[in-house]
Amino acid sequence: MKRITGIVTIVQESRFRLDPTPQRAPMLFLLSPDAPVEPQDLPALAETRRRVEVHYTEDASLIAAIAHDIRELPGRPG
Amino acid sequence: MTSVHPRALDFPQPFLDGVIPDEAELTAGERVEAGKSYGFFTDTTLCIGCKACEVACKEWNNLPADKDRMTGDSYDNTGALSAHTWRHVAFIERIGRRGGDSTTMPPYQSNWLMMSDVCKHCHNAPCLEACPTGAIFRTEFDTVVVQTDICNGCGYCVPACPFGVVEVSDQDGKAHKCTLCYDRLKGGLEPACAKACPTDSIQFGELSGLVTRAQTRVFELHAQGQPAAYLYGAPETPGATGGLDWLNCFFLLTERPEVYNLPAAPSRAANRVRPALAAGLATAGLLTLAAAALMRGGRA
Repeated sequence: MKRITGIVTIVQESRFRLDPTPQRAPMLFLLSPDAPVEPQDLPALAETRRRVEVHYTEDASLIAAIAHDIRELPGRPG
Repeated sequence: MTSVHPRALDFPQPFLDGVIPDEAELTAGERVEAGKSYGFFTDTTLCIGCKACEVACKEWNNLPADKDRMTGDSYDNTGALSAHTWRHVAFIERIGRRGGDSTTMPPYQSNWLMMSDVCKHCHNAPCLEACPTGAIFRTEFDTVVVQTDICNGCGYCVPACPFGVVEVSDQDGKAHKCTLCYDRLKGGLEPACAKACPTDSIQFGELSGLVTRAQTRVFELHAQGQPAAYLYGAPETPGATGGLDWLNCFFLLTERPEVYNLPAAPSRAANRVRPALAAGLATAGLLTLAAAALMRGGRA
């Protein structure tokens, strides 16, 4: 499973956009049913602007990735 | 000269500090207020197939695009409404049909019919009636919205929808459909698709005003030599059948509904519950009687 770190910027239902480290384009994620977080947990991640690590897989049919896990990283908000 | 809403003069600066209060009043001539019924009037005679509505919907709602694919079906590579596509501009080619060819171009979308399809936000919404968890609810703006945090992905809403709008996503296992930009309405904004439409083919507004506007447009088209124009889904018109009463998102069409991939006479799935239950009970009763008769015959 791939991993990426960044800041959650926009949340709509179970979809969220992650702004990764510089020089990488923002990525759109769909929250997988097996993820330990629920759609209602996502807005808080965007509000705190803490760096998170997303474990994801690519999707065969959509220009989006499927997030299987989101973990807050220690440190100050971005 | 283009008419400008008087309130627009209050905001001459190019960059604003925040959202304009009741912005829909400036863009759609409509102040969005809870307790009123809102919807779309989609006039297919004005649609130019630019797909700005599709893009605006995806952009605002953070919906993913499909990976590159060619359907081979005219200029329509979107294909259909889905869990991740809440607006779909249908291209219906009529070149060569009815003995016509590409060099003849009678007025009003003669060689292509284009229609921006969307959830109809039915007055009696079958998806809402079928939802066992209460995830689908009617908002204060009389629109129908799926709450994804409550949806358990059972999919009952999918066959209940007579228009094939709702879909359960393979990726997140939840049902999705157009929300009529519920978040934008709460903020006093016009839905993204209607705001982006350059020809006003998609008009947003309070339902009674929209219906009046649509009826006026039909009369105008009849007077201009397009007698085939009619409303689909407005009260007491085709599409508002089978107990649906009316669709908050209705259309002006110039061909039979089936040509646009719309059902000629949509109906609520709930209408079929009572006859189906009666048929089931009658079958069970008959089978019981038959079994009893066989057992009695065997003993004799």
